[in-house]
Amino acid sequence: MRRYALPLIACLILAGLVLVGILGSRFTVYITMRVMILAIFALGYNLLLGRTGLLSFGHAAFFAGGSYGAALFFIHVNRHPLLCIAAGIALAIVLSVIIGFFCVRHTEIYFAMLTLAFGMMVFSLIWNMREITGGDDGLVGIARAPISLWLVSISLAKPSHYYFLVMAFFMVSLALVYVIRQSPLGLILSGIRENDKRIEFAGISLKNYRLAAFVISGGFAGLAGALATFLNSNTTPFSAHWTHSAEPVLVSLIGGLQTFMGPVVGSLIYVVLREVIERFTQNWMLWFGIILLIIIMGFRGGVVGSMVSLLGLKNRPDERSEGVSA
Amino acid sequence: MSRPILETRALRKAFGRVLVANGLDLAFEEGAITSVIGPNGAGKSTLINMLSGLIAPDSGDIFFLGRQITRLPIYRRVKMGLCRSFQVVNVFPELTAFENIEIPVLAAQGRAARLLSPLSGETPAGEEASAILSRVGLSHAARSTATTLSHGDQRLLEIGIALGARPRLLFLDEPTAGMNPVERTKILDGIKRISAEGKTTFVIVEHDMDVVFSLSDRIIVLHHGDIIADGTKDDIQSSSKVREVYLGDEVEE
Repeated sequence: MRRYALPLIACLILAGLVLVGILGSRFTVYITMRVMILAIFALGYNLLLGRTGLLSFGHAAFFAGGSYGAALFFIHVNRHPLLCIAAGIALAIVLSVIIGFFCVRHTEIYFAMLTLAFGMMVFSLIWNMREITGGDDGLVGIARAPISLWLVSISLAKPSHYYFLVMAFFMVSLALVYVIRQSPLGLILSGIRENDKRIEFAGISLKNYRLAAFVISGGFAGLAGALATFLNSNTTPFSAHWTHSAEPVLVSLIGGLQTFMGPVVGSLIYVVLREVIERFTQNWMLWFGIILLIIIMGFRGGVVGSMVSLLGLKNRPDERSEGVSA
Repeated sequence: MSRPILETRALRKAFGRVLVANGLDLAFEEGAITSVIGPNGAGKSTLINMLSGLIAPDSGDIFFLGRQITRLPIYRRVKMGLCRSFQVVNVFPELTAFENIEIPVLAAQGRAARLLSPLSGETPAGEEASAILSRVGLSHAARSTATTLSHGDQRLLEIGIALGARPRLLFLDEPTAGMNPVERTKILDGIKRISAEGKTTFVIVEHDMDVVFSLSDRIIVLHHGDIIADGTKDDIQSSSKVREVYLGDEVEE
């Protein structure tokens, strides 16, 4: 039964997303894109937080890296969306290697504060380097050029067309994160979370593997940032702001740190809830805070985590297929 | 005489004014089981901590397999085959016993960094981890989370993790502490058997004299950071200096 659960869930998600893309209203399509972009951000981020046990408050810097990398590539080099996105991811990865190099030497609060400090540096760089980044205006007019692959050319100009590109990247991210969680590296990262003092005595370089998790999550943040740039047709310096770094933390917490689908479900709840509350009250942060409080305190292990244990499914932090050993 | 597997030269370490290693010159022969004993505060744990890379010596050199390793990071020493277990339970609590051992095995097989292939496809690592589990007598608990194991089983797992790294030289820090007699026998038999295979050299820090005398080919007695005796079981038992310093201390307590 469990063997088929995963492909089944994947197919259901895909079918649901395709239906939204075809039948959904403009608004639904837009909101769903925002959910998927945040989910990509959080899926990668949770490899660092839930899996490796490192709390970063600076991942907005890599989101912005992807965002500005894509936009700058668009303005100065080439307008091909896929190339722009690749450039965004590349810049995010370069940033996360540099920042990660300094941060992974430390743990817990020192790690968190260092990532916060680096994140604020990136924000102020973007804010002040007006000639390059557009300062507080951001970079505008980042249009969605058609994707030309050899003979075919796919238009992305309509949101409902761009939707399918975001969806494709979302499904790929979902698959990638799933594979990484099931890989040898995934187990090593769990080991770091469980006992970072013992892991070196197992022959694992703590710094290098922490850096690997940091850079992987930075790369996903960059992808999310690049996709967001094309969604909104502009970049904003606030995508690098530390308050934005809190989003993947909250989303992972809501969904469940120790679950694969947690960040996705968390993103859905976060975006939709915020959108709904904003309609009723200007004071959305207060109500949003209260609801988050209830979810985080009421659902131990997040929404997905508690659902899994409620339904009596195997609730282990590292779900693994049987049959490795006799 | 064969070349020693591990050698120290003038190894010195002080914590403040307390001297815990006073220029130690030691050489460990391959294949022999050596015990390091001494009263509390003699510098046994510090010695193992320095050799395994947990703390740096103030001065002196350490050579492993003829290579200078004094400043080498821990994981590189482990990759060379210099491993240790800990006095207190030091495992990966929320992982299964099997996964606990799979981590060092993957590292030893150089497959730990693979991120796009499934772990379930790592058959050689799985087989090696299963073999180690049965070696330490934990096959029945392979799928149990480490925290759910009894204290004795966690100590066995502790040693299993150390074995997973394919040690050429293995330091065991009080391997039988907190074990019941059955588990103790199991682990001592295990050590003798693995030692007899000839691939692993053991250095054991132990308080229990029965364990020390039944296992050791050679015994080193430390006191205030100095080697006061070094020899076979008979040498140590007949040494008046050891009696005076080591056993005398116990009588006073």
